[in-house]
Amino acid sequence: MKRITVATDWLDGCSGCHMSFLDMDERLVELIKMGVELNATPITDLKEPTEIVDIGILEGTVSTNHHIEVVKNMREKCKILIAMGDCAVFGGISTMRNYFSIEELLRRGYIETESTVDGKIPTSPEIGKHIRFAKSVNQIVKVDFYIPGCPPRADAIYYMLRELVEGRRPALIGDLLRYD
Amino acid sequence: MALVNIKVNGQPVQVEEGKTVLEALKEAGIDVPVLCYHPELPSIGACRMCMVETRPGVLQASCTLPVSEGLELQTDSETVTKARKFVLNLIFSERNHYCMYCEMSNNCELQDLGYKLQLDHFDIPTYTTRFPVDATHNYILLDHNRCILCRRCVRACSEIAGHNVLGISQRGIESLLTADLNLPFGESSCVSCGLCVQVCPTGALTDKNTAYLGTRRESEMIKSICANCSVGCGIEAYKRANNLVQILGDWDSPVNNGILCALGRYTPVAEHRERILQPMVKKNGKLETATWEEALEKVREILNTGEVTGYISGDLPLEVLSGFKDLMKGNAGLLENTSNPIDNSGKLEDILVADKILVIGVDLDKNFGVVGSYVKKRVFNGGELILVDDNSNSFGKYARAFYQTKDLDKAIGSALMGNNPVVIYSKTEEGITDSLIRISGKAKFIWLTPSSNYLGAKKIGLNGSFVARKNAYIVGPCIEKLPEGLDRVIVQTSYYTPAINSADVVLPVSTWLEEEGKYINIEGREQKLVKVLNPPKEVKGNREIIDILLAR
Repeated sequence: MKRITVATDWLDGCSGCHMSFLDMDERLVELIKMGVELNATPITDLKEPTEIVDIGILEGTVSTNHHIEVVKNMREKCKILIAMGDCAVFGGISTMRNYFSIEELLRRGYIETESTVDGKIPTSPEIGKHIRFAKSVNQIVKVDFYIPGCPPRADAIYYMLRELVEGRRPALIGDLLRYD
Repeated sequence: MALVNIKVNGQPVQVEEGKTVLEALKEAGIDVPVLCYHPELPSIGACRMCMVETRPGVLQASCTLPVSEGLELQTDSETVTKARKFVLNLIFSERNHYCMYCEMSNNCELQDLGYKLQLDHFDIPTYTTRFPVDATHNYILLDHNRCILCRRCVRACSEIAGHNVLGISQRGIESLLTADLNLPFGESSCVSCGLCVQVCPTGALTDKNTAYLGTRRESEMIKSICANCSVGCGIEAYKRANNLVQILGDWDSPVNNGILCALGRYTPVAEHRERILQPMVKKNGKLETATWEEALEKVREILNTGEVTGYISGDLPLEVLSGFKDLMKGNAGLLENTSNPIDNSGKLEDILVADKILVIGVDLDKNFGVVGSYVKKRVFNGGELILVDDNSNSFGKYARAFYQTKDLDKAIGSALMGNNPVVIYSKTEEGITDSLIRISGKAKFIWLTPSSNYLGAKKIGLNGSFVARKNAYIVGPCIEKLPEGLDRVIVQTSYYTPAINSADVVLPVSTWLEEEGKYINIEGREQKLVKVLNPPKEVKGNREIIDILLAR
């Protein structure tokens, strides 16, 4: 049986798409029986793919310079890159902050929130810096396949992976293609 | 009609001359994606979704291209599908179409096309520019972020509804939908007819009161008529879980052709009057809730005195009016006690061809808005409006001449200079009808009757005379005032008003959306009111109560 390695990661997202990924339930087992092997994913808690994987999947918006690195790294480490969910595909909900300056954004988030007392904008060099516009993954690197949806249906993710595992080009239609 | 021969994807097709390519393709059963095109609106070819290939590499919008002899078309060549998808990509990327939190998601023509053309990502960076949201209007939310500049609303507002409020300001990427000369929507001359919302393909124009009640696709649609006034417009009522979600104008109705006014489209959804949900009987000088048995017993007791006069609103269906007349053994009259010696002889469509339109004593932007639409449309097409009113009138700006009522005869004289004048009036004081009756035969008359089924009531003789006795049985949706000097009073109504406090019995009844029956509109057209909603549990239909009382 051919071994097909899959790595996933998330950017500026809510992890809802990964929940949908897990929502494949027993079909995950089915995929594993077909040869799918999960390498680095937030589910396995491995931070980076340990080898060049067949399929890389990204969830979330590209919002910081850190995300740009994650995206570029994933592109280098995978043969086929899938953008999963509205954020990775279109930019999604995080792009709403594009209509405000980064200063306004941070002030609102860390100082002006109603529940915050003596707030402080974090400045640690370990934290990624916001880029001016939150972006979709395909504005940074080439993306091969897209699964829109907020979150995408588990059916859509399953369909996409099964088609790829079986060597076909997937095309989402009907109920599998949804923007919300 | 002459036929022309065209070829569609290599197949010969015969089409009537004068049709557009899009119409021809639709007839041939070929699916063409459209966005700015709407079957009820003049086409302008703004969005380019309906492009077809007329020669290799030449793309033309099929909605504005007339068929011509020998025309050869490709509707699904690679060039066509690629171009359509590219256009859709551009439309999606220009503004902020976030489906995941748009109220119109799953009820949006733009989204439908995205799914249909399998648009699974954008090739063009988007979500960088913030567009304004105008929430100043009472009923309509205008979100420029969702606008695709298809101009359906502009065409509906000007060419179908005749109001000319909406337009586009600026050019190119800065184009913005504008009310009047760039006023906030709520401060503009908009009369809240809502046709713009009805035709909007996206979530740019939405009904505030409909938000989060459910989409049209999740709702059940029932075609009926509006019983709020005597025009009797066709409506499409959307309901979900017995809640009224939205009302749209029925494009197929010969009365209004899709147009509505705020009274028909918005007031039923925004209804806030207090409903009466249980029968009430006066005990120790105070109205208290009672069972139907108690209440009907009291009603019978009063009716049995034989000393009762019936008063009924002409807003109710014919079946209710005639049943009530039987119940009261003929001694019943209309709450709107008006008489008019002149019969209606005009139809609304006569307004569209009239050369002179005489409007007397009514502001058509405030009442009978659909009649107002007809008048405005005619005025913009060369008809002359002659207005008679002692007060200010929003139609003053459209009028060629504006007279006081004392100069009515001058106004009539000026209207009679036309070949086919139409007279529209609502008041029936003798001074007015005396002057008008003298020109009967020379003009078409449209009397805007005081209640929605007045002509129905007149047909069954309910507008005649009756004897005012000491007790009264009063039936109407909303009773604002009781006749004076009464001993005992039965009120059968839907809404609570201070006036009903002095009644002895109050029977809760259905509203027009919960009733069914026949109505005769101002044109003499008999139409059917279809039941849209189920009444609340303890509320009965008007005819149901009358039947119970008739069967005693």
